[in-house]
Amino acid sequence: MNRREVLQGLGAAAMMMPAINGLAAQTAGDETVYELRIYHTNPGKLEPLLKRFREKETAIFVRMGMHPVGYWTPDDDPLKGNALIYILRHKSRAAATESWAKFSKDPEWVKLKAETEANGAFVEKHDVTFMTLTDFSPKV
Amino acid sequence: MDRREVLFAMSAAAMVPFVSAEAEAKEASGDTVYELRIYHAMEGKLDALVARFRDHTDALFKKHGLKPVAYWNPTDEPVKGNTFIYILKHPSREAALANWKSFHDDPEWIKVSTASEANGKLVEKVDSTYMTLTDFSPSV
Repeated sequence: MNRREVLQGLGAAAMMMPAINGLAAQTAGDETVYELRIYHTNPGKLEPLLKRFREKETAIFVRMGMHPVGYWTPDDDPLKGNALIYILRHKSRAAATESWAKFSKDPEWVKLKAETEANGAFVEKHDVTFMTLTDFSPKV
Repeated sequence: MDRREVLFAMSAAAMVPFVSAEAEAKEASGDTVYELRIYHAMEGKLDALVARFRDHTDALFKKHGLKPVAYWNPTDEPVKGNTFIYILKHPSREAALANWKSFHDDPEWIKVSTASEANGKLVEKVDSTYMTLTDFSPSV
């Protein structure tokens, strides 16, 4: 193997790393960020919102390069029946901004939102919190 | 083995799952709950709070069957620098209550808590939200 082949090999190995580590979370020095989103739904709109996530929206997130960590519904009042809580993992804050920009302009999403919300908006208010894992956190 | 001994052995066997595989059994039965906890720290106390989690609380959680999913620090104002967010996974809501009680009653926790708050409280307010994974969520 000459020097050029070694460099090519190194380049290929470097390119494979993100694929290998795609599901592992933060490693030292990386820029991974997490986004906690809490959606407060309009009356009667949680079920159609969940249906949209289940059938279409999560797949669009993934297509935009966003990684869902978990989707939850609260068990107790006052949030029970009117909130969806989820966490996304992004490669970096810049990647998050880019993915959301692409998402909001995506033709499938624009059509889906218009169709599903023809009779009224699903979400009254959403809270967004960007965060990083602490140094002692399990990986997610 | 007479009938009484057989019955005794059967009841002893029936108790085993509660000792050795409680978490798995409950999980299989769909009782798993998650708890999102958002701590609003007293002014200037976030670092001390995070250090207490790193050095003590995390280990005490595990000792009492409170399973951390992840711990995060928010990255943006207004919650940056004064808020700490984490999620616990519980085998059931009942287990959550029992484990929190044993945690709070643990002399080690009482000692750690008292020592760390000698110069004032660390936490102003805790928001706790119990929640259930949706049917379309990745497993967490």
